[in-house]
Amino acid sequence: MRERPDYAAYVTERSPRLLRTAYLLCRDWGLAEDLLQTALVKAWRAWRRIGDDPDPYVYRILVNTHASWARRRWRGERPTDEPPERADPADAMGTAEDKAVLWAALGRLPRRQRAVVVLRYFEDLTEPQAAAVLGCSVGTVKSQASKALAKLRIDPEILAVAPRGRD
Amino acid sequence: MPHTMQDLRELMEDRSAGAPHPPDRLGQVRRRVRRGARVRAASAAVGTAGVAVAVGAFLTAAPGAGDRPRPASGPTAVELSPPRPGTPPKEGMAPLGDRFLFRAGEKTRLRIVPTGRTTLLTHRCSAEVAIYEVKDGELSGGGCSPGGEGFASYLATVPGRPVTLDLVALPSRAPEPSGTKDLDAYLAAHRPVSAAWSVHVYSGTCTSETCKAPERRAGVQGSTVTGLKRLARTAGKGDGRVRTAAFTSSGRSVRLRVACVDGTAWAIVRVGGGTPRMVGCERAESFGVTWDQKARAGVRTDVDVRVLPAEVVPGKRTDPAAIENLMRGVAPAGTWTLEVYDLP
Repeated sequence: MRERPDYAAYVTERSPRLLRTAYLLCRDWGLAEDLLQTALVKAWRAWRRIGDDPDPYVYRILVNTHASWARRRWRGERPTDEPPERADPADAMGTAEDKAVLWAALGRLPRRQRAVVVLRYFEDLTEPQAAAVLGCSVGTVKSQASKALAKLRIDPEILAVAPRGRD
Repeated sequence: MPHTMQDLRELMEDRSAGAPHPPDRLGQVRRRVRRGARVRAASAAVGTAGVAVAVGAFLTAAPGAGDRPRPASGPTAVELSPPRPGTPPKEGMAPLGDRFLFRAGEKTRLRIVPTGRTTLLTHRCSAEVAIYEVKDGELSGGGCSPGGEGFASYLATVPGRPVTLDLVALPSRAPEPSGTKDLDAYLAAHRPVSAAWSVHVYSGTCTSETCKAPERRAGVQGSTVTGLKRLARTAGKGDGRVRTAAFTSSGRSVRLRVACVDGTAWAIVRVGGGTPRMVGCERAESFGVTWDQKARAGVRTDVDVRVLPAEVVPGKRTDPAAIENLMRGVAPAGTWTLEVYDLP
């Protein structure tokens, strides 16, 4: 099968952003690169029928492939590739620690809810767009986003540092 | 709320901002595509169908010279020329021979007598062309870029058992055929053009990583049904629709094999109205996933199968309503085959 000319342009133009999305899903740069390339290979196979706007299709492959990897034990998800951040002594407001805690809490979200958060608040997809990517109803996207934000709100570690960080 | 929505957005922007940029992601993706094509090509020789071909081509004729219908004719049969003295082995396989051809737009039937369990076809070309292969009625193939890696086809073969392939070189301006019918229609509507292309064939024991896996799998998974009597077979697209095959076993168990290619990933198989079994068949590609299942000897038994594309991630529910829900808005992709073998 020959490569379509617009495929190369799409990969070149969009892959940096897609890599960031993949990273937010799997939280490991190596895994993210693998996830992105896997998604792009799958997209290559289906390019003829993807149409003019490949993004939703590629997002869907990213989310679903990540979900299927996470399900398989042989490719277990690694929560982080970096040691936990420590508070910068110069950061009197505790912003760095705050972010580290929030990042960790984001990682504790269930896979599906994290995907909703990434699509809605990082990729700025609308609820119908996110629903189309995730293959669920708009109502499910709303409820998953609401649950995710609620979990972040009441995360014990966030609550533990909140008084100091926000004072 | 200790953090605002703005904090969350900034966090995701900041954290994902340090993305490393590989020097050539597009090249890496292309290599993965080609590797997948090669693996599928080799696997097709083991079990089901579909082989990526390896041929080289050098178009020398001006396009458009032959765009007139012509009577259909059969393939031109050719034999390999003996390898030139001093031709080095490739990936541990000895050269079987080569063949230089000088026309594109017509079928060439190549007969190979392998000397080993793996047979490799390579090609060379100096112009952009598309090369196709028809083997056992199935079409596959790809392009050939001048100076590039081209295409290589690894066939799992039996020493001494001849393999016959129909090879076709098409100008790159030709529309991509989706099947043998398309290809035959194109060939019938266009006259051949002058071209020079070459096929180089090697056979033996492959030592490279690329073909190790197919060879190993051919010996293990491919042999699991060798010698068994096939009781039933059904095939279809990865569209989530149920297909049913019926079999009557002679013993108390049967062996089932599901082979998925080109984007199908999950098969839900239900034998004799029992508990559905979810089979992840994407990794096995067309080598197939095999397992044994109890059966009632002498009793006609139905086996229902639904196959889902890789785009879908199935949950625990496998009932028709759940599958229909999963397939909503998803385009069917890929093809699959389910076979049932008798275990006497």
